[in-house]
Amino acid sequence: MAVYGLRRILWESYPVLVLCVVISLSAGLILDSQMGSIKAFPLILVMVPPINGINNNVCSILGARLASALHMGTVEPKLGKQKVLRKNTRATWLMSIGVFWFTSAIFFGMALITGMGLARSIMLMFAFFAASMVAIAVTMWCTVGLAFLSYIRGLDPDNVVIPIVTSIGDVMGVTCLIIAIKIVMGV
Amino acid sequence: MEKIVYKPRSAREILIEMKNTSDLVVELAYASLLFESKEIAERVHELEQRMDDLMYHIRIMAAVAARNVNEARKITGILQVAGAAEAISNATGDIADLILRGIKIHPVIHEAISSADEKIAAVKVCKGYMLTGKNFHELRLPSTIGVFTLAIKRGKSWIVPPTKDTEVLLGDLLIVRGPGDGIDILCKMAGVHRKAGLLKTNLPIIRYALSHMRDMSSVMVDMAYSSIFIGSREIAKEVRKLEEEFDKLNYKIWLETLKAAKKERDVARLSSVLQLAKCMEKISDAADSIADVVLRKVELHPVFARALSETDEQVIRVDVSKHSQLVGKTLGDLNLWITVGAYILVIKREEHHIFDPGRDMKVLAGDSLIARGSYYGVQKLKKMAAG
Repeated sequence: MAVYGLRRILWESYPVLVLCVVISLSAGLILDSQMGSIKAFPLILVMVPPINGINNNVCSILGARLASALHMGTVEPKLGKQKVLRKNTRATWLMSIGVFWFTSAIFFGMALITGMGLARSIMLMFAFFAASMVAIAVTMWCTVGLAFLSYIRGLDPDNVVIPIVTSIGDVMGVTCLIIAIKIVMGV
Repeated sequence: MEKIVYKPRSAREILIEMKNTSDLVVELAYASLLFESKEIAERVHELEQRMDDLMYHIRIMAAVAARNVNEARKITGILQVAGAAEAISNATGDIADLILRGIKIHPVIHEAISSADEKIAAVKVCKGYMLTGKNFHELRLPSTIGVFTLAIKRGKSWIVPPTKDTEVLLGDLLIVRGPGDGIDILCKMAGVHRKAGLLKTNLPIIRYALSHMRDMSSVMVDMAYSSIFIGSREIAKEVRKLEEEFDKLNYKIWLETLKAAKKERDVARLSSVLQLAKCMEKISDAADSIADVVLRKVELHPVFARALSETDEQVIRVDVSKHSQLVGKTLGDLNLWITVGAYILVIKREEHHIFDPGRDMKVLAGDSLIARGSYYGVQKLKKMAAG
């Protein structure tokens, strides 16, 4: 039998994917329930792909790296002081700050061009930045937990950690974004 | 082969156990020869099997962990070192087989093992207060007298290896290794007299070569590990050089043994000499293959440094400061092996290396000492060097 036969790929991935559908669907439902806010402030729809995309990619990279580190033993599956784990999470954090600042600046420009006024544009920029920071923090710690779990159980991180992390990332991104916009912009 | 269940153990943890086991099994194999003990030989076989399991697990971990070519290159180094540790344990299995098959051991082997620098002894605990009721963590034998305990025979059962929580009881038989003076101290603590072996056989060349090979192979292995720990190509190159020297000694042994066969009444006994030489050669080859990882110009995986700083016996590099109490004294005066259990493998002085320095070598300020010893032993040495 081939190492990755059709049956095995389906069998291993299917349950995880179903779980991912459920999680991601709730992200969609959250968006749907906030249709009022979106109609009042359509820019939210432009903001969803970047916040989810960046969040998921950054955390997937972290998950893959952690899986290797756990197998080699440079990271141990426990919380608490660990140099390599700290370096990894810090790098992820810094990387996302760098990317999200840039994205926030673009949204500031877009808001200004569409005639939103300087004060509101700045507020929008901060709302997006704050939402992305909270989203990334939560998703990152979920990633760490899932990576530990996949190592302890001997699961394939590519088949388990990354799909679940990206689904959680979707929910976190949408939730944080809507809450931040509601608070800051009052829609 | 039974199916092996997945256990989440990282390559680092497995590597630590493999190094500890290979260090232990070599000495136990010599002990089985020295005492012609089938029981010890059986323990050697058990440890050898354990090593096979560990090798299997570390291969799994390495296969799962590699995610890109650069990482995979570094991981092959880990597998090579693990493979060398396994090769060492396989070689010792052959030594144990001599005993288990009831092959006669030539007396020159006893003499050679007893006249090597590193001694092996069986010490019966006959007297109370000094040793009994204390565990090995409290006793700290390696860092006070340089003596490592390999195994304990208690009644009919064996404890291999004793852990830091193992207590010494009256009547225990301790199988130990270490410097002769250190073992003398342990004997006094245990209330027994150490018998000095008499040299009776008239094969001095074989005796000398075998005992030299025994010390050399263990120094080579330690130097090879230290070359990885420190990432030193010079030390790795020296291991390679020693390996050539070792091969010459090996050749000499074969020649001398064949010569001796003419006069020997019982030729079967002499074959044990050749068998032992062959095994020690395998150990030196393994040391060379560890050193090869450093010489290959592939960046060393950070797991090495972490694993090697968590093994029972460690290698360390310490810089001697101006104010250190070591400065100006000879290694003979300091006698570090017996006082703190640290054996100096290499002295790095400015840009050159002094390998296996003799007793007359003086320690100077600015030297770097590369030593092996127990955790507490090397920590003591660190403090002494700092001043």
